[in-house]
Amino acid sequence: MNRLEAIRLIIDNLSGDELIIHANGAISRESFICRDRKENFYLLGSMGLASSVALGVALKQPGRRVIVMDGDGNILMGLANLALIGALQPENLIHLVLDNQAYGTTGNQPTISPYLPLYQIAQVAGYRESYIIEHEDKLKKVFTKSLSNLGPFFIQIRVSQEVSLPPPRIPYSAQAIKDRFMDAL
Amino acid sequence: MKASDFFNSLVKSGFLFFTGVPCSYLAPLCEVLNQKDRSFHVPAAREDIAVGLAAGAYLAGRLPVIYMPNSGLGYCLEAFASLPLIYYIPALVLVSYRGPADQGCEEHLMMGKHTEDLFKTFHMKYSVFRGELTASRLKKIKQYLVEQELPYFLLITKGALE
Repeated sequence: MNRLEAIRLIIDNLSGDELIIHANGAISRESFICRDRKENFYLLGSMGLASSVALGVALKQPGRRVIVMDGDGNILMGLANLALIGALQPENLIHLVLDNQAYGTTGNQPTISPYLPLYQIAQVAGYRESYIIEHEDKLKKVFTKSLSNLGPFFIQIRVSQEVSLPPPRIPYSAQAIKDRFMDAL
Repeated sequence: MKASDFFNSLVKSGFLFFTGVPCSYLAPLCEVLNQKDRSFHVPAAREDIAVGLAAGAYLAGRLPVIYMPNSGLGYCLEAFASLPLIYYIPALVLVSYRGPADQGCEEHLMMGKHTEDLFKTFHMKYSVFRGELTASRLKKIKQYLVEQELPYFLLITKGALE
């Protein structure tokens, strides 16, 4: 499966008003193409910080399910976030990592993700459940389970680097993204 | 100023989430914060993570306080530039002013010398805190945060919090 297919599967299987914090670049843009939602927060930059923002939201909105749509390049830049999430145990947090083993937005330069079992790092850090997934049917099953069980969940999704058409930039200003997201709460 | 009084006046003003990285100048405040619940105070592993956490807390409806040494300001300038400064996310940021009073500490001199210049270059509003936070000053800061929706920085000098 490629990244867009994985994102589409996730969006299609949401149960309702889950809050999604998106990492910058292609991940935000492809999710926007799949379905733009007012509960979507797109980071335009701030590489490495999607999971920090999501953790902040999750701690202060314990009644809402918070999903972070992260990438391997992003997560490698902010590995300390895994330690923090493991330590704080936010039960409403689902951490998805679209792992294409590359910096996709800047031209697929390789990351060190192939040498590093991210899902095991998450497990050791203290996530309640951690998975590595390669196939769509398993992704659907595990993601659906994560929506109705106690987290934090870590779901590393292996995706190909194939991109049929580079997605356009998010057409909103940063302030508009924030205002809309806060209105959705 | 006593750190507990400082903390209490912030809470009374509506700051309900604290996150950051310690500094010896901020240690008395950290001592107060470390008594608090983790949904109220999160010790961040890095200063840029603190900026991210604070942004998340604000999105979720809480006015945040971030604390860090000025060395950490260098680590997270980009986090400020690409998050609160463009999304319009307010936060009170307590930054220790290491350098000027640390002649024996070579590692703080360069950052100390340029800290205020960094605030000016990035058009980030700040003032120096030497140990007094009057009700009217805090009210003005709060007003700035609410009206401008931007971070406000307090540079904390040596011994200002005890």
